[in-house]
Amino acid sequence: MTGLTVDHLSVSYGGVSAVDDVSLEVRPGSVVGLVGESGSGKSTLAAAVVGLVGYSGRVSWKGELLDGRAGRGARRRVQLVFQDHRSSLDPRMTVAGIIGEALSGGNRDERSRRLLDLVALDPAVLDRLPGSLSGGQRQRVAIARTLAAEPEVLIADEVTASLDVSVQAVVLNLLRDIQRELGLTVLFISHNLAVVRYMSDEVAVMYHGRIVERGAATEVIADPQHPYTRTLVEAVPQLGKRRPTEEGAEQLLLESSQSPAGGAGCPFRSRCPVGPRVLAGRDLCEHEDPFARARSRRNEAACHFAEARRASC
Amino acid sequence: MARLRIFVRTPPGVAALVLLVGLLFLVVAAPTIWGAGAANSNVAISNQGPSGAHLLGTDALGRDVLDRVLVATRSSLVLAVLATAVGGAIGVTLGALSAVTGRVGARVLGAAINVLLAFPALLLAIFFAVIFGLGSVASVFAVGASFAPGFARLTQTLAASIAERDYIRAARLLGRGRFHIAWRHMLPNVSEPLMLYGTIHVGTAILTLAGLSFLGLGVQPPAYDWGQLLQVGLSQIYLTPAQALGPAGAIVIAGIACNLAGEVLADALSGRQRVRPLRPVPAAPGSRSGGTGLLEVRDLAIELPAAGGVVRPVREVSFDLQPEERLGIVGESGSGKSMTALAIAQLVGDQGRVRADRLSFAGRDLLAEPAKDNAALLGRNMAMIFQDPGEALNPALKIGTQLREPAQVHLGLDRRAAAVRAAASLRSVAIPDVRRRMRQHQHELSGGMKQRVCIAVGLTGEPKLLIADEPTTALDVSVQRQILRLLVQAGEREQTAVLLISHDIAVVSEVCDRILVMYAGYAVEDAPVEALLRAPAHPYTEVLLAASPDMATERGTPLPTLEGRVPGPEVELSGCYFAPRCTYADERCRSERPPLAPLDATRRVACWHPCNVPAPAATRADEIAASR
Repeated sequence: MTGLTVDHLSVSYGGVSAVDDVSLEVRPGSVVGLVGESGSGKSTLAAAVVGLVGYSGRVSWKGELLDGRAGRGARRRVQLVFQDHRSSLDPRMTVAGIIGEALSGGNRDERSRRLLDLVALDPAVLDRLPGSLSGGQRQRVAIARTLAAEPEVLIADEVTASLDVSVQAVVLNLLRDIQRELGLTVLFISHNLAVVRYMSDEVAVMYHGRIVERGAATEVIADPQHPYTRTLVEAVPQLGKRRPTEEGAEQLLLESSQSPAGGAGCPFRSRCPVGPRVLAGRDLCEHEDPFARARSRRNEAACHFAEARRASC
Repeated sequence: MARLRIFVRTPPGVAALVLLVGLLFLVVAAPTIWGAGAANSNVAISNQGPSGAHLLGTDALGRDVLDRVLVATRSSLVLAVLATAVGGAIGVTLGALSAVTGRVGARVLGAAINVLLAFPALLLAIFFAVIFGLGSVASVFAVGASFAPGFARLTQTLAASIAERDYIRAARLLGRGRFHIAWRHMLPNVSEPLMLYGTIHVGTAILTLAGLSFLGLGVQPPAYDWGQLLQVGLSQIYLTPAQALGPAGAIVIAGIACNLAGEVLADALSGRQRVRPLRPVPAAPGSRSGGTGLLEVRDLAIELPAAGGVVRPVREVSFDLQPEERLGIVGESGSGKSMTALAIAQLVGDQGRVRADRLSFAGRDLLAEPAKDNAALLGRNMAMIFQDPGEALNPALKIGTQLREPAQVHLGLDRRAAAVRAAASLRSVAIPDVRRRMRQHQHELSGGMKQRVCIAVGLTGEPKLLIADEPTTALDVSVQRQILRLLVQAGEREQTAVLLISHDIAVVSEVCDRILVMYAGYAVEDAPVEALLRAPAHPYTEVLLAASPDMATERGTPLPTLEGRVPGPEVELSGCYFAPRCTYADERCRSERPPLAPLDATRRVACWHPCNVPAPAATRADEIAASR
């Protein structure tokens, strides 16, 4: 059975493309991690999937189209957990009001308590305002509110980016437990590759509004096919790992041009450490967009030389 | 509401309160007390000047003017409050409507409000008064209608400012309708500025109503308000000026009371509070024996003034930094790590108070010398870079100018030599195309580039110490890696010591030789990187290391966590500040605070029960004894 299906989705703001023809599938009950740097379009993709921004393309859940015409019930099944716990809760509403608003039907008090139990919060917080809670508590209230809508799909957009590491661990553990317990389908968005690796079954890597590589989390991270993915994996800070201080040609290249290249070729070519600016004979990258070819591969890395690199290793 | 205590705490607050209470008293009691005098006509004493019996004289029918002014307080103020309420009700409804009617409706309403706002309120009020007719009720509606556009615009603007807040988007995702969102989420969150606007507008309403009555459009005789009294009095202004000055004074006083109350309310609502700066402490003679370190910090504490007294973001921090050493300070938010850096750079500000047994840099005792004398030494020998490079660079100046300045000021170079020096420092942070970059402004550079420029500016003065406070937190990982490498290079090539402050222990461990872990304003562990990673001694360090998933974390197992939160800077505990969250804590931990004591030759820890101690207890005790 199909799960959350994103089909040729594009979003542009005033002529500037933020998400460019993205297709993505999240199987029911699985967690797909979406990783990318700032400006890669991952948060816009999340907002589009839940219908907060307009888009072209199709988003469906279990074959049912989720667009403006979809009923309220269908829309409620896909919920978003926001990044910033400071702005995602109404500062004038008590926790009871916040969770109660998301519940439909009666017996709200009893059900609110059960939800707080699920996110490991003391029912005493029901009478408190968000301002008197800690960051981790607020994020847990936000998750409880999301769960109150009884969603089948959860989009988690940088949910731990604004939390301290010890609190981040609490929220990550909680999300994993809830995902397993309720069999949720999750799109987990983060700039932190290590967090995505820990949380996800599959990983999709976004660069400049497009998905450049995707596959099983362990495979993509252990053996990235796209040079951009490789750059991200290598850049993750690791405990006690001393790095050589002299920079190679690739690093200078990466920093000399942060913006994607225009024109018909590969958008990553101006930064690519194995692209035409470094290696001779890679004119293909200048002229041909690798995305057209990408779909035929298992790992679907949008790079002309993904397989060649693997062969050479 | 605790915030309203400002009304009895500050002089403007007290003045506003006294005036308001006085006016309220008049509204309630004046007609009963002075009503008779105000109504009692005696033509024999008409149009008299001020006298002992009639302090403001009498009017044409011989009625006491002062009594009439006092009695008129009720009608004037009640009408003003009613008019403001009418204006608020109409305006807020219009403004809220534009939030629920969708894009086209909002445009149309917005345009209508804009047109109405183009007319002065008094003109609108006169226009409406002519339509609604004469008398009190009509003038209330006229003034109310003239206020409505202002309220509508404010509501619209405030609603638009929160329309994209996540809690509103969350309510939309839950399928809540626009009216529900406007009523439950928008209005409560914009109510404070609206109330404030209303308070100040009561003052304006008093003036406008007085204006209408003065023009003969408002309150009609025999009823009277201040405006009407003013109109009558003005005809006698050359004979008995007090007849006009009395009501005029009342209008002014009431207007001042409303504006004053509005301003104090604004202060209270914005949480602005005037805190008294702490008196600086004279440099205490103490254990000021100098060591050999580049930087020596002993028992550093920082106190900041707060509403409830004094808070202590930094409680007890001690460490040494040797020349060319790279030390990382790691801690979560609220640990006091950034304040520690500010204290070292003497940037805490006049409000706060820095205490230390010793705080010396390059052999100079920073707390003993006047701040002015330290400035030159620190400016040249200490550089600091911050989390947001965009904030640190001046947007109006070219990059080249900002790079030249430290060379001219600290190195005493002339303009040309400074320019050469500036170009060299840009090259040293691996920025290509230096000539072009020097002519650019900061907005033309990417985030990573800006941070490089900041580092280049810092390195121009050939500092002995580079303090970097979360230099990569706002940057992407691939850029982060380059900045970190630059810090290491700078340290090695320029022989600069580096103090790297970060919440990310992995980042710090890649760059530094030694790590100082901070918690709740205390230094809790200080150890070389390898030792700290292999066998963290403080339970907090242990959690910090394991809590953040890395590329090798077992995906099936839950992450270790901490319950509770970091004690805030206002909390006072007698024991260990980590004890409430610590799994090893016992009675001693809760009652007696562990000092930062040597664990072996290179490590210090502030814990009664350090973990991961490899050697047998006896040997460890020997080590401790030996290191002392």
